[in-house]
Amino acid sequence: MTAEPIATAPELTARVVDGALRAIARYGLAKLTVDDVAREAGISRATLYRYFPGRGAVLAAVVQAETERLQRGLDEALTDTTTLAEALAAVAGYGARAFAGHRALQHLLATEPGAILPHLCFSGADGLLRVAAERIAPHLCRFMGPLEARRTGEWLARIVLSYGLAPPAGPAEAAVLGVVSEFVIPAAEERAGAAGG
Amino acid sequence: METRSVRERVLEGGLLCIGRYGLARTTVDDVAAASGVSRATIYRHFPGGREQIVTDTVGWEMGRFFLRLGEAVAGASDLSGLLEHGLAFARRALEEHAVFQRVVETEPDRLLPLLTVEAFRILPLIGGFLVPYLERERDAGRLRPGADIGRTADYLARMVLSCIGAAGVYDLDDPEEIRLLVREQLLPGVLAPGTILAERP
Repeated sequence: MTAEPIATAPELTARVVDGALRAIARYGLAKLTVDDVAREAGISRATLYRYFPGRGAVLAAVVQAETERLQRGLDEALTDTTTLAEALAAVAGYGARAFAGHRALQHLLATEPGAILPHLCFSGADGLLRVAAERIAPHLCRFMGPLEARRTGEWLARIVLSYGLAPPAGPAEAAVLGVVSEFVIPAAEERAGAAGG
Repeated sequence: METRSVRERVLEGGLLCIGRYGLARTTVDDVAAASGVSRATIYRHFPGGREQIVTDTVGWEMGRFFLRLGEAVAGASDLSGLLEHGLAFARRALEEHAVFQRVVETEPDRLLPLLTVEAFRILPLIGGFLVPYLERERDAGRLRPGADIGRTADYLARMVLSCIGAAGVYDLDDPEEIRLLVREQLLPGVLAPGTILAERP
């Protein structure tokens, strides 16, 4: 009744994470059970428990896997960028798409905001901005010093978070790219030009 | 003669009770006792009962918070002064807001959805406050060429609200760091090149 056997632990983890995200997007967090995750992942409850001793362990795996996925997505979004303007737009565009297109996140924001907002506001936002700045900064070090790269990375993350939590009337990605090209890129280019020349 | 409206007295009582008992445990009876308004009168003004009192109290207090912020910065001479004083005042006022600090610590799951809904009301409020200052910068030829006042005000309002909630890499309890944030992040995107003095220690 469950799906095909699983070869490796990473493969099982990936399946559990995918299953958990689908289950969250469908049922939310409050009512989420390990059974839901096992069913969505197509594995038995017993197999799941062997690797993940409960709901907390599953959710921790989800957070870790999503962090890694976002990092890879960010790296990919920046692959073909050559100029500072392209890099800044790529970071912001990717962030806005990742936020708006995350089905589990959007389901929670709509149906159980209390479960997710503590991770996105006040001290939660501080932590999130810190991580985002750390992840974005290395991509910007081609164009500016490490401290400024952190500050610019954090500023982009702030913009993405603001438009994610209080979405504008139209598509958030277009709004984010609009403010980045209007209010962030010109100043960053001038600074880089002044520092370089 | 009672000068405050019944509604205001109930909301004040609501704030007192939320500080004492929290968002989840505040009851209509608590609010009646704290405000000196009878249950029947409370229900006439707040037909939704305790849920409505709690929601309205949070919205009311958030509105008052930004009203106090507006009063505190009303004398600012220009945009950079306004942003610096506003951020400093808001960070300190939030830090000293005992009810907020208690509830955001103990019941973030209940408080934050209410604040997020309110943010849609607060953003245009902050933006509207910024408009005359932006117009003055434009008239002095200090805005970036072609800048749209409405879009600029919305962008700044979002970033200000973001910084009030989460300081990030800048230490926003230090006036000097606020100055840097305003001069390095908030203003360069908005003001024409060369209008901000580069002064980093």
